[in-house]
Amino acid sequence: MTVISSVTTYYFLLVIAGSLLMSHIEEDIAYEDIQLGDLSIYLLQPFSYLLAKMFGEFPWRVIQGFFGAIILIFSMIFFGSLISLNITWQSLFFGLITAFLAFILSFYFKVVIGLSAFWLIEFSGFSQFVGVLILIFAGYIMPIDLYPNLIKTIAFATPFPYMIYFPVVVFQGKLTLFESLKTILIQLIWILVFMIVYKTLFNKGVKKFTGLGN
Amino acid sequence: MKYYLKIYRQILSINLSNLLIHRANFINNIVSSMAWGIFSIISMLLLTSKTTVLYGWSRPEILLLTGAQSVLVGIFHTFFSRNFEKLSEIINRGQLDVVLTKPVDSQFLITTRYINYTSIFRIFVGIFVIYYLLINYSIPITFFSLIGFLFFLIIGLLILYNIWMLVLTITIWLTKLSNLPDFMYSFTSITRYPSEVFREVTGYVFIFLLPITIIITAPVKLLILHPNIVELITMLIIVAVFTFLSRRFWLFALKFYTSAGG
Repeated sequence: MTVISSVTTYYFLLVIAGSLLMSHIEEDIAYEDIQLGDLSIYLLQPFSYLLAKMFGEFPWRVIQGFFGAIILIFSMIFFGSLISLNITWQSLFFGLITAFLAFILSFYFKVVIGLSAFWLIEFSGFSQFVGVLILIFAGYIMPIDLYPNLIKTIAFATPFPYMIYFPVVVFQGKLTLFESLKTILIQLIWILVFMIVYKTLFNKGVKKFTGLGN
Repeated sequence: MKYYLKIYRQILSINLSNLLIHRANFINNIVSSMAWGIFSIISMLLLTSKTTVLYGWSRPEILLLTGAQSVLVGIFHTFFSRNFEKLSEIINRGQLDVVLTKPVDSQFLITTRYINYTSIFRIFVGIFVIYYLLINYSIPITFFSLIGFLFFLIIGLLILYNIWMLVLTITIWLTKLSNLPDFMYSFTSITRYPSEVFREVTGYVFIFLLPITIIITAPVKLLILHPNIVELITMLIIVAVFTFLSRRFWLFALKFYTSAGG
């Protein structure tokens, strides 16, 4: 597997990773629930808001992942010679786990971003700024291990590579067993962090929300 | 002609008043447009961090290309993008009747009605990048190459306008395609890369992509004194053909427009 074919394969896998794993729930939360007040409906219902949002988001990811898969298959027909994928049981197994955790992580992260609409009057500017951060640090531009060292270090300190870059790279079989386990651990830690941030922000935000009489 | 200039002056001032009324959006949009300008520079910096020459372009030249693309896209977003976004909305809600009954050309009105002044900051980011690179890397330009660059930048802008117009006229038939502008934004971002990148692609795809790939690279090559005459002539041919086609297509499409209400 040459470097060029591994990088091109990365970009092809990025098509499906981006559509399947990156959640966009923050738009729904910020615009529909908070700004338009639909949150009140959720607050009256006897189940967790987070669970309701998760069930709403999951079909979106499935269908977008489906479209991503179609595009990937098309690309493989035309550009098959450029793609080289070494699938082993290890890369498949760990790939699926990291992908699943990446979806959970991106979901929790985007929910927290969406909750910022409780306090920010103009949400879209902040959301676009976060969007640019994700584009740079999640590995959409190019594989993060090709970044200059300083940017690489900064990127790996953020949760973003664990949403897109690491699932793709684990799937390509480029990480050792130890590195794959380390990735999964870090993903779990970030998920825990955002779960705690979510709980805090949600409780504070709902107090403010209901206080306004929405 | 003077009539249309007078109308355009009114459009400019109405949009300015709107801007001043909705101040919260103002800061927001400035942040967005600068963020995208800076993002395109950063992504090009990262992509060229390990190479010195790319398809015959040196690294400062490629960054110059990115800066020029920011300028072109910034001008396009300032004067035209919002109109194309609203176009599908207008057609979907049947509000095109209001436009059609006015004593002004419909294509003119729907593509110039809204101006997004905050995208001017994206133009500034681009100009700053170009200026910085020209000075710090002593890239040679002449007065005439600058004039040529500006001329072909305007031609490129017209080509881009006509491409968007051709695609978005389809919403008269397929009114539910309200996210077509999102696709066009992505499509327009191809212009960031030098046209040589697309030479690898052969056949119909290349011909299809040709107009959009050369609209920035040809003017920039002219600016830095490596003009590709073939590309420049192609641009002139394309602008003539596309302007004619998009106009005809729009007038043709209007015959199929069915309004939504009484």
